[in-house]
Amino acid sequence: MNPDCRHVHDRLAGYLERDLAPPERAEVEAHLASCGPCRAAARVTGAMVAAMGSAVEPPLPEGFSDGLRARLAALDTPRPARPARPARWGSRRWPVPGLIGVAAALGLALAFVLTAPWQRSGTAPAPGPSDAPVPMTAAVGEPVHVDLGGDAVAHIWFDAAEPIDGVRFTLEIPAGVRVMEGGEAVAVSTLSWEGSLAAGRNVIKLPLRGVARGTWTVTAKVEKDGDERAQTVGLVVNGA
Amino acid sequence: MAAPIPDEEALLRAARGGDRDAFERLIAPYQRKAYAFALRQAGDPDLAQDICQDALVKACLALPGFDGRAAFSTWLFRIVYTTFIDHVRKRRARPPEEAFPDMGEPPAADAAAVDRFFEKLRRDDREAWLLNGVARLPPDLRSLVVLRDFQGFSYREIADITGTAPATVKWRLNRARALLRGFLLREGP
Repeated sequence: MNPDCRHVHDRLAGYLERDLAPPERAEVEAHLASCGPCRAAARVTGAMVAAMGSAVEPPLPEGFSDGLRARLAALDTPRPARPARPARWGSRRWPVPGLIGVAAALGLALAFVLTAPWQRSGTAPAPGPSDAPVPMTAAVGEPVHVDLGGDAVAHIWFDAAEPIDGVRFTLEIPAGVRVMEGGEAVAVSTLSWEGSLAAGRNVIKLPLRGVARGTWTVTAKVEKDGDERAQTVGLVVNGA
Repeated sequence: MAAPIPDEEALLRAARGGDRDAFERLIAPYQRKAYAFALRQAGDPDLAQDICQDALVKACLALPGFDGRAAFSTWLFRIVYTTFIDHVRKRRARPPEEAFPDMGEPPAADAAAVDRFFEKLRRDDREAWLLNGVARLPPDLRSLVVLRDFQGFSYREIADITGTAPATVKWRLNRARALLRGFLLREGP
């Protein structure tokens, strides 16, 4: 694809939604007037988007609301007293709704005790150019901001309906940050340890230092018996 | 996106205090849209129901942590989105190579392909045909098409739901539409 066509294709969404500034729109229209393939692409895309927008929303399947109600009610069902022992791992699903990272964006500070020392594996590669951001998808909520060379704390948490032992925690640390340990900034790409999830909210407070400008993502994974859940927190290291 | 229900704030307060009935009433206006979101991503009604119900249960448990910075609807759909992505990761699903044979530039459309495309758009089964194409997109791009083109979320809302910047959403949506267009144009009659 030639650069002019690429330029127009990159702006098709804005063009079709009438979201381009007038000079840019005029540029696109001038190209479309003279380029058959791009004109066809714009026409097809516009029709495709319009067709999707007019699609009828499917109804809820029969029994959906009743099934959901039953699952919600089960959250409140008191469990009979039993000797303290690790909970059996969930059959198809964890008893752990792990999707909490949304609120991690708020940076709420809660205590969490790691039950085993961290194990480091690998060392972080040298960071790339300090002005090369690494946009990540699926980050949780709003990222944590830190100045270049400054410190911040990332919060990632998991909820457990009941205590779970024998869980492997893994944190994947991007190249643009260092983990603060004992006042020292440590270059490490992965932290992992065996631990437990307590009933309720378990928050990992991860002290970090930003060492390269850009947008980075810390990934936290919790795994047991081959079943894994992951959360991510975005970190934006702002240049000085 | 559906307008907030009039007494949403009161329901939210009650639900955060553990009132399950209030929670069910709070999410009632969003359930169908959330299920549609899951279905158009997952492609399978049973799987979509599982994903959607999982997400709504997670939302119930996470509600104490919702502080109102984002709209409740956006927060809720964020949970549905990440539940779907978690499911994809858990299955470690790898799309067949032929699903994305052309991750480079979509081919320029010839006149015959364009004519076939518009013929299919006139058919009664056009939605199934479109969704068949959407199903062949990578999961994260698929979500953008569903959120924007099927469900009409704004770029700002999609950015909040997917955890990316609005400008990135627009750029990636462009990419997703180009891939989808290429797939739909390449199909035979």
